[in-house]
Amino acid sequence: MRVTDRHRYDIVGTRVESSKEINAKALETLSTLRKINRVSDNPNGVAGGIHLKDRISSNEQFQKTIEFSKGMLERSENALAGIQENMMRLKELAIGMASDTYDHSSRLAASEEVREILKEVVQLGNTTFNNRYVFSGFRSQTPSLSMDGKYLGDDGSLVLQVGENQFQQVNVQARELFEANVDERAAGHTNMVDTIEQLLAGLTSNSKDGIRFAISELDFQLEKTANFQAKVGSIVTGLNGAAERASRNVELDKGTMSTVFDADIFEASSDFRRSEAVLQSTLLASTKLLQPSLLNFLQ
Amino acid sequence: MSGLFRTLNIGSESLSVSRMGVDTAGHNIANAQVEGYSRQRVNVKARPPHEKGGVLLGAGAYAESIDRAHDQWNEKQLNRASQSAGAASARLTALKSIEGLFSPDLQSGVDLEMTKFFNAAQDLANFPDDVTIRTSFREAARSLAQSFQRVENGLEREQQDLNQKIAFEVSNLDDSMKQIARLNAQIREHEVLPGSHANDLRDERDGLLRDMSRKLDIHYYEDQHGMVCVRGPGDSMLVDGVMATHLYVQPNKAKGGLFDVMIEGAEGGMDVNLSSQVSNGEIAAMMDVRDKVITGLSAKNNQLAMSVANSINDVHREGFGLNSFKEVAGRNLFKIGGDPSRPAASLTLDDAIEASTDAISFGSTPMASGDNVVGNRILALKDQKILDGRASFHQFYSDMVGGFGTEVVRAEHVQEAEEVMVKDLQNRREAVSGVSLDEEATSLMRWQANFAASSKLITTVDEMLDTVLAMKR
Repeated sequence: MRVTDRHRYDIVGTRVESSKEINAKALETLSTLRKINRVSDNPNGVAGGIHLKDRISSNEQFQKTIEFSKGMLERSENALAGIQENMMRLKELAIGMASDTYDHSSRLAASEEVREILKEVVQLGNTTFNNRYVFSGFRSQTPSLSMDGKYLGDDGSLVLQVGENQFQQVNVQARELFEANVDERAAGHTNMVDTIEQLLAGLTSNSKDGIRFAISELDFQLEKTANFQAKVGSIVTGLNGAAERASRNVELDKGTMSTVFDADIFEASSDFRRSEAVLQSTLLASTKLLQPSLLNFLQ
Repeated sequence: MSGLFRTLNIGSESLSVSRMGVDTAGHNIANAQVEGYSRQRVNVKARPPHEKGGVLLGAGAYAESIDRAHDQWNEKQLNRASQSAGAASARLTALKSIEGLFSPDLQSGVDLEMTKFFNAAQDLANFPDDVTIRTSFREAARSLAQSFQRVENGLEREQQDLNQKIAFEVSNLDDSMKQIARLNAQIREHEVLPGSHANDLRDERDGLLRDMSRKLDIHYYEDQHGMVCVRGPGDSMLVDGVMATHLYVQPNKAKGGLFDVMIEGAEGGMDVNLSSQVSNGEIAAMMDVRDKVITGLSAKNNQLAMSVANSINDVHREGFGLNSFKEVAGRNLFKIGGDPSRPAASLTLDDAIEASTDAISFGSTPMASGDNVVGNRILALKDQKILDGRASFHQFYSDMVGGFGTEVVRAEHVQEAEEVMVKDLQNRREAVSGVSLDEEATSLMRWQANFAASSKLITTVDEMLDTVLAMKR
């Protein structure tokens, strides 16, 4: 085949261009440390990356939600523990005051402590977390209890998303704790605050029977509170599982993302060096190829 | 005496041929780097011999013509390959330009904005009554709507750019057609005399035909006068000898003002729309990307935007907001309006939501500020297979981007293959028609030697004439 001068220059141009293209690509990979910088670099990788990025971000959001829920549940747990403690103290007081050892004046003195405890129980019932009443259901801006023991919240169960297609209730429906339901009323039980009021009445009226009746009601309230503590505990356990899953998902997905998108620094740097060597040798060979023609030797 | 003069004439003619050889070599050297130039050669022929005394005596040589080294078959192959290569290259360029709209580096792509929106919805489900979080949610919803708008506007911009490019190329083609008609006339004029070849004009015309082939599916043939007739899509006559028809673009209302490729009707007839018949070359590829690829992507973007907006609105309407909206349901989150064929371009937030974050409705019951039931139902939409019953929002988007990416990769491969084929044909053409400086140097030496020998012939005849004249004294 005849080799013309344009052909020689074309060959040089094409080879140098191709070497530079490979070199530029290797430089891009090395400088960004990413294998994929545009959709056409790896369409399947980019499509998969869209899901991975979304999953990572969603799972991080789930972790935030779980942390928030756990904070709220911790506050609820503390409040329930406080109520439990106060109920225990009331029971201790009631048992002591129900005996013949104490007279009316001692019972009146004890009633003062009971009044304080009553206020504290109401306060604990109105515990807030991030400006929301934790026992008020959906009426998060309304205190859960009035001073006379009336439950002011609703039965809203606060459900939050804690995983992909996984929603979990993160509050307790406290009406059941603070108010006696129909069956309980039929069995002679009363609201939590009313129980304390009964004890108070027994103490102020110096009625040992009244105090003894209050003791059995206090047992009932203690049991209910313990049940609620257990409920909160089981929700926290569930959330811990969800948190672990979310954290594991983030870790796994970040690993997969890295495999798909990130360049191996050693490979990228060796590719770049190789492409540089190729470019240099192409340029060197090109100068030889473009050596002067016969015309240069004509005198 | 007449014999010596005859010999003198042989020398003189030989000098002339040698000079022509040097001129031609010089012309070749001067054009060595001109694209499309075909090297030229002096076609030297021996003159018919004379008979003298029963002996046939040679009568020297003369330049019959100056020919160009040209392979018509290769040229046609090259032009055919250029059509496909032009189409592949234009398609790849256009697709690459669109690719940026779906770059994985974008921090505000539709996929990330959808993720941010649902994350913001989760935050709001956690704190439905928090004013700051309600504001963040509104911001995320607005950004999501804007991300659909950005894609839609970006696609429209690319479509308009391609449209303008098509108009520009059609105008170039029209110019080329006129130039070919002009060159046809000049070639016919120059080639009237036998042995006269308008080589450079033919090279120029071949170059124009090559350019036209890259842009449009044309075919052509040469008539007995050396003029080419060029036919375009649908066998339309583009150039007929010295006449060129007029090729132009015209906005098509049915296609939103995008251009159709039109050709002037023959002899006062109706102008013809060639758009549907353009099947190869750059213009066909650009029209395909403009009318099918971009339109397809836009349809998908609109489908996704509408699916997101409608499904969220359907749930949102059932919810109650806060304060003055705590007892009123029935509000949309997104406002869908504007051009019904491109709703994503004008997707915004509902006026009530824009006016107050209290209108965001996450509660299922009135007057319950902590109620997030409707919010949870909005969250649940994210993983539902809402689009065509087979894809979630993210799946649909990733299918769309992945599918488009595959199309770009395919276009890259086709372009590489087509360019290799064209390169090979160009090399073959270059091997036949290109200029080799070494060859020309040799040619120069040859003609120089020839010139020197011819001069020697003349001086020899001159000396012989002197001898003959001296015989008289």
